[in-house]
Amino acid sequence: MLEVNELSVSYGRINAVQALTISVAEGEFVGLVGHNGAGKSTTLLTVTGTLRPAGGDVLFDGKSIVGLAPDEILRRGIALVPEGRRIFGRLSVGENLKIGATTRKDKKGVEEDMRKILDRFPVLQRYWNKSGAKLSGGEQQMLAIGRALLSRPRLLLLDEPTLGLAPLMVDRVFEILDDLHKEGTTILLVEQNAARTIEVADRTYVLRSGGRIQFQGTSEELAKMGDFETAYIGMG
Amino acid sequence: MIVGSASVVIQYILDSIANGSLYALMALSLSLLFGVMGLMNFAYGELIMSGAFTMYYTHSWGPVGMIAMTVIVVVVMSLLMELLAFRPLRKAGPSTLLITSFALSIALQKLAYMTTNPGIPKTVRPYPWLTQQFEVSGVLMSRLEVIIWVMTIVLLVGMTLLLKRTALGIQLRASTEDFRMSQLVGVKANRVISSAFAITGLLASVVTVLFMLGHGDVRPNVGQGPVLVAFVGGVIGGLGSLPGAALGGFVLGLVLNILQATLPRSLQGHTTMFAFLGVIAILVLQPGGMIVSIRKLRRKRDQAAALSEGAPS
Amino acid sequence: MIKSFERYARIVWTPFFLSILLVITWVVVELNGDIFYQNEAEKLFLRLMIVIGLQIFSGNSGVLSFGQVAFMAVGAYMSALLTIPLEIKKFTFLSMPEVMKSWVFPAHLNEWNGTTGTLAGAGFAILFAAVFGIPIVRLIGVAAGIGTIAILVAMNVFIQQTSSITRGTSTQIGVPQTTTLGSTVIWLVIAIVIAYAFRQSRLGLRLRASRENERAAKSVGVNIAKERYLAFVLSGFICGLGGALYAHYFISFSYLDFYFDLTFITIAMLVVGGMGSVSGGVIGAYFLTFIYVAFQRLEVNGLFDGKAPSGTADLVLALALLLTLIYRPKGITGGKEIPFPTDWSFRWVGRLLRGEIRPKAHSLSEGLKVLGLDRLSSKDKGQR
Repeated sequence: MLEVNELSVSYGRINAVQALTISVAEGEFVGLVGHNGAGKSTTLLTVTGTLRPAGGDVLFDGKSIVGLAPDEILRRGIALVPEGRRIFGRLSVGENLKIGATTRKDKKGVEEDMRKILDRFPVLQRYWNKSGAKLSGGEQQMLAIGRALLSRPRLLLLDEPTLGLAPLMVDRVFEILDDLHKEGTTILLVEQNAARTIEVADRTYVLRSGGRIQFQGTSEELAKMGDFETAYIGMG
Repeated sequence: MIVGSASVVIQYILDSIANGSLYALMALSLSLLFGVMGLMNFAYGELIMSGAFTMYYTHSWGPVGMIAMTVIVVVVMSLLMELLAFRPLRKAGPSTLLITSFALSIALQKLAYMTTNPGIPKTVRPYPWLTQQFEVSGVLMSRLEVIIWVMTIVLLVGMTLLLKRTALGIQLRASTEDFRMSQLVGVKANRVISSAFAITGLLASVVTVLFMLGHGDVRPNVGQGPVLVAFVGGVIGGLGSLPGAALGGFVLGLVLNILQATLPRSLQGHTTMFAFLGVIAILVLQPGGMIVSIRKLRRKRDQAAALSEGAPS
Repeated sequence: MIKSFERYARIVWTPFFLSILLVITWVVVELNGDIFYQNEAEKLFLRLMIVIGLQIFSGNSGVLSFGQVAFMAVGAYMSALLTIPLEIKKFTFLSMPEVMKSWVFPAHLNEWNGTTGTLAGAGFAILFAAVFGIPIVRLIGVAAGIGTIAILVAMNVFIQQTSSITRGTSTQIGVPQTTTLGSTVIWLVIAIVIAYAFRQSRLGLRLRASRENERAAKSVGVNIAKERYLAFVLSGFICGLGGALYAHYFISFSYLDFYFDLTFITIAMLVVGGMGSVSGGVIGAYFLTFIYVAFQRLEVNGLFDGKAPSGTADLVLALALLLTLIYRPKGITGGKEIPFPTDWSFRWVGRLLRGEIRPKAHSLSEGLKVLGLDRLSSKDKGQR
């Protein structure tokens, strides 16, 4: 469904991502792990149209989406749960969810999805009128995921959703992602927590700095490599 | 005529409220653009100017025609400004935008000098039934003042409803807070910015009509003074926050007017100077404006309360 | 021998080149003798003085200041106060507060053709810049812009309202005319040397590094506030100098001379020429002056059968600034200094003639795209 071909992105003279090639198939749960500065977030921001690539292409359903505005890319079905959640702190929880459905015209469908999301995250129902800034980190993460789901994405991108969360909350986030995947959502998850990612993902790419791929494979394959953990930690 | 001191005070305050109201509306629109695209729009004064000239030239159409035309011209001007000057610079930094708005402001002023024959002094003839003062229990008021209060309240309520209740309003507020993220949830950049300029234009046109009906003189630089004061009010209140800016504009307009009436003559002229010097201090000490500091205080108080209730965790 | 000569020549090349340009202008205008062109040249020189002052602070730090003209006003007013003959002062500054009277009235700093008065005015500008610099250097971006506008407006209100010291809205009387085109050029050459030396000095280099990347500069230990402060004060000095010279050339000046119009034109000159270099300021000042004077002539003399309406020159200036901001934000020079003659390259002329390169200005379709008009014809391809 998503194909990133030889993607290069640079900030001024610094190359953040160099000739990265990854793909995500319909219904798949793909992980993308790597250290800080490996170019993971840059990749996601480029796919969603916030950054422009210096070279390479991004195909969605076989069509290039490079150069499209972020809202247009969202309309085609790619939603991002960004790093640091980026909840609108001054908007209420309800408004944060509603704005997630900006691109949709089907009111009934939105209402239905809203109900589903509130069932899934009852805490959001409870704090409906509270401002986004007042939620805890974990609650904000639910809100960010809910907001992204409300656009009814065909591909959900998540950027370090467990960063800075308490261990219990981390478990909860992976649980949610696992559930979403089982319900048929296609997911591309960027994480630093390699072990957990490999556990839940169908397939995982391991990135070195500069967006070059170190390993890739299914959970079993990566597990079979045995000292994968050491390799991952040792690669710097 | 001898008037009791209480009613003198009330008189000052009533007069000043009208003044403050106009600045509140101006600061509100400045803050809207600042929030959405980091633009400190100097050329806002020229929206007022273009409205003032429209009023002058369409005065013979009668009040309804004049006001309608003024609203149309100012809103169109505002949208053109965005399209021709600011859209090409969408990705430029705030400093560049500031110089641009400065250049635009001067360009429009000069254009007005060129096209309107400034040799002939122009005034929007006042409507006597509007400006004539009448006495209500010892306090003088004019219909215009009452209209300014009502319009300000209507517009502020209208803006609040728009921002809180409509999809566009939610998008505007979201963009004010985090422009990039709002695009990532599907808000169209061009649409939200154009809307902000349209709202700005609408508010500016109302300000122009109310302001000019009271002041009358139409000059190419008629907007420059008011916009500077509104700037300052916005900064004092906090440009990043819409209610903060409106409140800042209101309080500054109110205070300046009261000071002007009460300070000894030798200091009267200096009030604006102190306001501008105060702005420098606020920028350094409390860059978010007073609203932010109030929020901070409240948060500290909440934290202190939480601690004293304190279940150790 | 030749090598080392070239090394030294390279160091002085830019200020030398710019100074020669100024001197040639002066000589040409002096020989021409037309008072109109002499006044225009003096205006150019004095604006250029402010542009150079602005370049020292804004060009190196990247923080735009709208307030430097306020320091120019300080220079003008103070140097006027200290040079107007006592007999006149007695009448025009009757109500001056005693604390000032005691030292302003006896002062008559006209030594060396007014040089002492000029320097005294610039000295007061330094004082003011030193005070206002404390808050301003802590601000960046829009906040700095607003803060410096606040300085400009506050100063203007002060001058208007404090008639006991400034004569308020009335013009000055009795300021001795000691500035000449020649003396202005000499001061300008000094200002250019100072600005260039500052830019090339370690201080200037550190400041420019902070402009490129604040965080990186901090990490290598550049104390930005301190560097900025020094640049701000130095800039205040140059602007004060310009003000003092202005006072003693145009002698009857008022608060109107030091406000938004002058601020605008000097910022336009610097931005159009290229903020990053002293050469940029000079080239911008010359370029806009040419445009300005040409259109002003058009307003007065007309061309073919019609005159341009008055104000055209100012409008064209504003448009030039807008177009520069949109199409060439780094200005004509791109922030570079005039290259050394042996580095000059004319290859681009040949390529231009052979049609290998097209002018870099955005083509029509790109222009339309910028305005969002391309989508009227073709289908939506997104707005970015």
